[in-house]
Amino acid sequence: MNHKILITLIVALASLIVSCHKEENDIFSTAYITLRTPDSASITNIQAQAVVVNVNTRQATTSSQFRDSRLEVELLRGAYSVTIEGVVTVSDGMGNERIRQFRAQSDYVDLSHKTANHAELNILYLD
Amino acid sequence: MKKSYAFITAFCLLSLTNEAEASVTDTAQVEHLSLWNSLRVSESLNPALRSAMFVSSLSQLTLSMDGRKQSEAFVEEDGTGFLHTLVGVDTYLRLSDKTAVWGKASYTAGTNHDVRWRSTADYALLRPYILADTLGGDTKGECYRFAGGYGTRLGRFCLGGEMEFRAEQEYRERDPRMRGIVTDLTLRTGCAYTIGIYDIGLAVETNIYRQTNSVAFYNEDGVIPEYQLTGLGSDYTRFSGDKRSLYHDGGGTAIRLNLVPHACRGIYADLMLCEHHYERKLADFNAMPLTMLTKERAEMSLGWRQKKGGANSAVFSGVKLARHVGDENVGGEAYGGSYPTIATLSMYHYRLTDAHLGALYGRASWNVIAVGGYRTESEEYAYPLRRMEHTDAYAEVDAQCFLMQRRAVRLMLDAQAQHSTSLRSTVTMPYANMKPSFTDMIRHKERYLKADFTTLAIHLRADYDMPRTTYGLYADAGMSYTACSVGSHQTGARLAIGLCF
Repeated sequence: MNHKILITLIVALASLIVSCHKEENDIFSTAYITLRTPDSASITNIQAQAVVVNVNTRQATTSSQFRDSRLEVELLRGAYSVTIEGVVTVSDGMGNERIRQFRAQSDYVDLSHKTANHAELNILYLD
Repeated sequence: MKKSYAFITAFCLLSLTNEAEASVTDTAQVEHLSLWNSLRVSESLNPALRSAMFVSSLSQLTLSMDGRKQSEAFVEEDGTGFLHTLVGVDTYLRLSDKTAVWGKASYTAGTNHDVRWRSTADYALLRPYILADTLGGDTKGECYRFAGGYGTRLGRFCLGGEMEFRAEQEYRERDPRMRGIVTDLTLRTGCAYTIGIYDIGLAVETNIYRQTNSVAFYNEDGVIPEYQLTGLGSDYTRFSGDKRSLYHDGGGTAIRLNLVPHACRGIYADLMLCEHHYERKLADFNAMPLTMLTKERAEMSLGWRQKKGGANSAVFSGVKLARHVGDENVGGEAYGGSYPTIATLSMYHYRLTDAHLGALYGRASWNVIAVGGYRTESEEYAYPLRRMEHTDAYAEVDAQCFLMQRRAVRLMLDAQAQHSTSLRSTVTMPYANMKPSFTDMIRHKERYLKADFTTLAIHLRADYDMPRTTYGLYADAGMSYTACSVGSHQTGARLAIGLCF
């Protein structure tokens, strides 16, 4: 009986020691950054470059992989500053299209989640 | 002519050895200093088993100087050398055939030369999560150590407890003025149960560690950045630069199982498992936790040993496995003077596998031990990918001889030879995107990673028993030389005098 208690105690202690730490190896995540127009116009085409800088490591990632008004980029999970500059074709819904120069920026975007890293940026027309 | 000198010298040494072998009494020095005890290191860390390790008592008061000089730093964080002075007392007292107490107290002071890339004390323990700069320089240090233990036998059970405490500070007296103040407490308790000719031991150990770490600059024009290193030449850039005050809080638990033949003959085995955590926190921003280093280690050994008819013999094998994981906390947006942790990423990984085989053979007055092994280490930083791996083979021979045991002056001679050769090493680094100073640091590590090392060491101790007292005097001198295949070398020397009682 004593032996059983001793063996149980040893196994429990050993398990406690070797099982405490859980690694977090899902370090990358896909971020979706959507551009939003200040008026009711919709974006029909976009040509722009995004510079996404990790606030903690200062590593910069550039991308121009836009689909409609959304940028999709694979990043190290973390906090980022985002700057997007380029031209955009906007439609007012009446069939009128216009090409405009724009900029969108945010000093802090939380892209630390394992999934569903969505962020929205308001664009500012420069012309 | 030279041949005759060599023959005469060999004959004299053999005569002394033979005389010693014939006349050796199991003096306390022989029992406590014998190379045989290197087979019993694990056993000595279970206080219950330690209480039965020695038959005799031995106390030593020591004053020693220990120095080392490298022509180029093998490890830049350790510097090119040191000169340390130690005064201390170490005692093992057998109170009865069932009970023993032991203790140790020491004070060490000295200088470490040309330390670079390290502004934190205890590099070996906390690496890679340290504070560092490119300038470095000599550091001074002092260390107080106290330890005490007690063990006793109660029927078939042995019980014991032990405490170790270390208080240390390392500092620099010119810019960058690093300071690391360490307190380190270890409590150990153990028990053993006798079954047949074997003692089965179980020991549990717990450790509490803290270091207060800071760097100051008195010259306002000469301030340089202090980097929060995160491994393999990377740093936590957001909090590097002017964030120069840190805490390192840590500790952990270990469990040790031993199988020991108490009749000096039989199989012996041990298993040790431990896990320790060390958290690096900024002193500012509500003690924001930056990183967490988790160190897991498993050690196993299995062997057979015997002391019979005046002969000592043993064969043994061992495996060490270690895994370190470094987690980085991602700081979010500053709010109310603190940064919330929005995610934790395991960015740093270290693995060690070490397997060795060895044998010991000797008589009462001499022992020779030979060990050969294979070691593979790998370090990796996840993104941008940095990786260093190397595999070494190593061999070591250590010979010890007790001479002139019945004379007024007794001698102990110990000679060691070690060689390690690099079998394979690979390095992957984003050199193009690294700062030049970091590139130099990594290139230095890379050169020594691929290097072979050969060490020769000799150590002579003379004991003199004062007539009509239980006191004795001793003097100890040792020298070592290490040659490295990159062209650098290391010389070491140690001198000690002391009182035995």
